[in-house]
Amino acid sequence: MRLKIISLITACAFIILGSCLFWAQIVKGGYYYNLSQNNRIRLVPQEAARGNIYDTNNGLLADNVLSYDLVIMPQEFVSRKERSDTLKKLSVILDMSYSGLEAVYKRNYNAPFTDIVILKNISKDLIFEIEQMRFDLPAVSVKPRPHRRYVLGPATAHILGYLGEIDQEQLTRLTQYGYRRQDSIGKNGIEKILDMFLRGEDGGMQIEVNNKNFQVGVLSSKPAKSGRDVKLTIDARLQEYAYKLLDSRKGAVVLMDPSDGRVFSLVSSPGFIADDITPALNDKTKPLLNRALQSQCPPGSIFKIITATAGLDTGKISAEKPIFFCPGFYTLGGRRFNCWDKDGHGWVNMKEALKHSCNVFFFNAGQVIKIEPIIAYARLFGLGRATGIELPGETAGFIPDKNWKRRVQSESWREGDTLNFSIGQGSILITPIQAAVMVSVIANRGKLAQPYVVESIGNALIKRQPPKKLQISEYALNIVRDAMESIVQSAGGTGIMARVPELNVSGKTGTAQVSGKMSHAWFVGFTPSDNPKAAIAVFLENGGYGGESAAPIAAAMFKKMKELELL
Amino acid sequence: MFKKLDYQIIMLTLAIFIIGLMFQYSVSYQKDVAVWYNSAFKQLVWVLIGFFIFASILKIGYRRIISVSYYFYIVVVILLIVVLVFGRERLGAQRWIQIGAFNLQPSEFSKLALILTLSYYLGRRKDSVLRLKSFLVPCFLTALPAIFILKQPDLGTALLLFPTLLGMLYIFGIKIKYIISFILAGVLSLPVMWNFLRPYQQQRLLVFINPNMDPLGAGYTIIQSKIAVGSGRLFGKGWLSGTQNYLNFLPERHTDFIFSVVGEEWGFFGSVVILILYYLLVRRMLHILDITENVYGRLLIAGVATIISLQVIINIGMTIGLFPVVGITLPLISYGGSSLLTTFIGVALVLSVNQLR
Repeated sequence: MRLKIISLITACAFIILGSCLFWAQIVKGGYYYNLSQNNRIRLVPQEAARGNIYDTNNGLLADNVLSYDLVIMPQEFVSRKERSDTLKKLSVILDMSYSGLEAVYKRNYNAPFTDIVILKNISKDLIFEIEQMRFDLPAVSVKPRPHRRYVLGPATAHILGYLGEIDQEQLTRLTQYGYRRQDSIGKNGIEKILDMFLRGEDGGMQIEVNNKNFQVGVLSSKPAKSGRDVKLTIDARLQEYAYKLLDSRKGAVVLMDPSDGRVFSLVSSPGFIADDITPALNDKTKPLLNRALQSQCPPGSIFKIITATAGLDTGKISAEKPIFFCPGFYTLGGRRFNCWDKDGHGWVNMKEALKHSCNVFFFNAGQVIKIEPIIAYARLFGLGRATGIELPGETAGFIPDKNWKRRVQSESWREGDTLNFSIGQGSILITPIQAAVMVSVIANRGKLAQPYVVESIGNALIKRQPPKKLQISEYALNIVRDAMESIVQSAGGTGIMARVPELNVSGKTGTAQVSGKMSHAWFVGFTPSDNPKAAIAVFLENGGYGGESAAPIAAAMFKKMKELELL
Repeated sequence: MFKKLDYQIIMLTLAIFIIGLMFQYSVSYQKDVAVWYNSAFKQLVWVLIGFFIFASILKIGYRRIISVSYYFYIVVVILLIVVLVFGRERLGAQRWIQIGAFNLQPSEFSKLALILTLSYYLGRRKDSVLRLKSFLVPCFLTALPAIFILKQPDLGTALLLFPTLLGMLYIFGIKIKYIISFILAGVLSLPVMWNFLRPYQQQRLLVFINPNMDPLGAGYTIIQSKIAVGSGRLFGKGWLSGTQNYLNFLPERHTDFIFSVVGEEWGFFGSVVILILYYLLVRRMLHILDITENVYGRLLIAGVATIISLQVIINIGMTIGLFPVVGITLPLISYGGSSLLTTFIGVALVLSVNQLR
């Protein structure tokens, strides 16, 4: 009897155990199977290499390198004493004071499990030294960090832009294109507008790990697809040289091929270091501003090119007639409008007026031509709207007109406004790139070419629209061209400082007055005069006289091109 | 020696043992080749010793062995004391005595000694079954080694001795009220017992109730073992292919948690096969018990059958979280010479009872 009970109990126990196994292995089997997979499988993302950026001669402008940071992992310290000992040893290696190092440690401390960056981008020698002392320096480590390197540094900072972590707004907009949180994304310049081409496609590996999280095998992998390289029309040598010429002064240089819009160099100064833009953010000179595209200033006398073209093309003024007398000033309604030369230019016609940049002639001319045609020609030359160069943040400048004046300033357009407008003063604003496009129209005999900086993406050459023929007569253009050549090449011209030996240079200087501050210096020009291969706009913010400070930069750029056998 | 040999028991034992070897191989496979050769060699030596003792028991016969069981009991108790004083510490417990390259675990042998001693003592009192003394003395005989084993500490083995005692007393025919009051006393003394437990044992019991309490510490083993067994599903991941096994997620998997590997690699199907093999083994033993009239023999079989079934149920239950993690081996499958030898001897004693029936 008792044996039967024992047998029964045993049988029941085994059946219950079997049912529990059934529950664990069959009913919950899938769940546990997934857990066992999760146990052993880790996803290791593989970042795609970002495409490089090259200049027109295939010289490197931007690539990817690994840089190394010296970090301290605060959680690794077992005691306060160990921390102070380590910092002491480290301060000797880094040749820093202990208190200085401690200050850095405290300043960069974020959270208990976050690395504290002590030094960024440390040298190879220092890496070796730290690694050799690994056991003496607990918690100290060298962390590699993928890093975008900009070969020319600040000289190309504005064109190339920089990278930053994707922000919330971009994330919501770009998630569908495969962008993820914490991705780095181009924040400006080429890096921003061509980000989708440059970034490539991240890959990843499913690896099998053991209980210590060590890799024991690879289950599957998707190789990362590198981003596409981008080739720019920029010539690194000219770019760097222009940046050097500007010499940290506030200003911009745009050098382009007037016939098709290829930009050889587009420099804004001062530049900034893309690695860390924080100092630039607080800089009063506003280095982050791309002055070539974003600086909006009155053009001053370079606008006389437009006024002259308008007068000639409408037939209201010819090269020789009328002539106006310049006593050094012009009076309108009792108000005096000065010529830049107090002594006056005497009797001048259009050609001479352009050559000497006589304001009084253009005051008269403006009144003869009337404001509407001048505005129309300004628009025709591309002023008042963005040129459409493929760089972010371009501004449109501003062309005032009667409507605007009435609407915004609640005043009617006056003769005085016409006078100011005729010599590029008053409310009119243009950007350096617009100035370059404007002068290119003259150089290119009436054809307007849209400026561009991207030559090819990957293997694909970017097709460009042919330059647009503007409705301007040969006659008008030829007179303006002749006058612009004499401005530089003839004795007494305002642009003689733009002369380059063995080259015929045409150009126009500009000195835009700003109340209370030094004038903005402008120079626009092209060379060779009869068959222009290069057009330039030089702009110096509060740089003084165009003929004195801007023209020499243009000359130096042309000279450099000549040396490089580009002319 | 070969007459009336019960081939069913021999075949079942052999089958389970061979499966055990396969999983010992699987556990050592890839991990470290040297360890496998090393442990295989040791296991082989143990097996040889086991067969020698197996044959000797059959030759000598269980009755003569039972008659010297008191000496055996005394030797084991002394060894238990020795192990407490000189024993080798491993995994935080002093359970082993080192003899050459081999480690002897006296607590394993104490199970045998207890079964033999109880069989001898009770068998001699077969005419005073209903006396209280027939209940109290066995209790004392059990408690003595249990206390020393508990001191090692080896909670599992110590607690295993009491159900074994109960099983034997039940078959012996003792009053049911004694047995019930014994169980009651055991349950009531649990809170007192708690305070005698080492902190790690308390931790293990708490973790048994809630493994997620300490997922990387004490709960880690249970969680990983459940994952291993469960992930085997119907047919398992295949022999030598258990990811939990070869990627080292299972601690103690060649000893106490060998069944996790079985479950992972052979699935529910293999697990049930093993359960059935054990069940058939125990049932066959109970059958022999049924047809045996000799009290000593009956008690002996009752002890061996109880302890084997308990170990199987607790060990397998442990791997799927039905029981707390207490160091109890899976007979014939877990690695460990003392455990293997003990089971062999137990089986041999049962065979001997059958022969001398």
